[in-house]
Amino acid sequence: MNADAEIAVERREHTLIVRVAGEVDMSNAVLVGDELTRSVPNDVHGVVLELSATRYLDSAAIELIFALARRLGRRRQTLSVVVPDASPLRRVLTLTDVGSVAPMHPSLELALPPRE
Amino acid sequence: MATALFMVLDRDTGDVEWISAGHPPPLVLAGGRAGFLEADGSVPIGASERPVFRLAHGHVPGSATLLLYTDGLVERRGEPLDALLEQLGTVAEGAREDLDLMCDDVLSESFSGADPADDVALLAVRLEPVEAGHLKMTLPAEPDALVSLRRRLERFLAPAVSDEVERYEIILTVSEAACNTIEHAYGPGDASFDVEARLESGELHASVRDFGSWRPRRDETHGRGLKIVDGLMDSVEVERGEAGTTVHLRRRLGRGRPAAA
Repeated sequence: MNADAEIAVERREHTLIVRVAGEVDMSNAVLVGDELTRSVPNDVHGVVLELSATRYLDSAAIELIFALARRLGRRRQTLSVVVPDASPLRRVLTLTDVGSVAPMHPSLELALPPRE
Repeated sequence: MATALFMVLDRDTGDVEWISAGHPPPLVLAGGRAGFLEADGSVPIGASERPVFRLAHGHVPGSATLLLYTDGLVERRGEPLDALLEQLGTVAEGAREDLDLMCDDVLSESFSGADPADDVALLAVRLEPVEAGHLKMTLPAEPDALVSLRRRLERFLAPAVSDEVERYEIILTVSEAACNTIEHAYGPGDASFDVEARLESGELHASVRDFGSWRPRRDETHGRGLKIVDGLMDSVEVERGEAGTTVHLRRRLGRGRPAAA
């Protein structure tokens, strides 16, 4: 059985919010990675990866975050990650230094750029 | 016309519910004695314009074996079904314990070496009681096995670890230890791996064991896997031998965070 994950995108002005719900592990990381790549248009300034509904992430999934940051970086687009303080994912994302390629915020409001 | 049996078995309680459409009764082998789960007044599908099928209830005790089979197993010209069922019971009682071998024995004994007249399908199920605080499982070395491993670990940890964050961290590290095996599995020696876990005196002891030869991984994902395992466990030991590699993990429970390395 593959792990089960759903991606939902929402555009707010120049930011794309990508919500990942469910579980991402080695069995579905490639599929999820492809979907993430396809979801980002060239003309957004930044992507917010919303992980509040992500129940499980492993190192294969975390590699996707790094790969996405690299890809976006080449197009001068930014990446940030939303992980609530109480989320089990917090510590793992800190341990693996995700913050070095994408700032982590406890809520979507804090991750979005201020309204112009 | 066809006979059919639909059965739902509750893995936690051993309770069964089933509906039979003229199908021969499932056999339950418990404590070395064979019995049958009978359902009243059922007719094969297609035999009646207004059939009535009744939901029946029963119970399969822990360690008992449930044997489902198609009627080819108990069809012999001129012999009444009751006598054949009794014979089946005797054969099942004398069969070997391992489920695959039991099926072989039931098939060979039922036909005394001759070929059956009709197709035969056998399904043997046994509920093994789980020892609280001890988990042992063998999994195929494939990415899909990770979901099964997580579900099993969730069930294992739930009674003893109330902190959701701690459960996730334990499940993640055991899974990361399994990932190396899964990534490099090829050939018959690498086809499966074992996971064992114990909860003892407020500590979790877990081990992941593969049976192939160890191959070093240098990519970044693996490096992160190591960071995760080192960061979330109190101790990590890797035992390498000719027969394979075992990773031993230990974590003190209930403190919120393991000691910094």
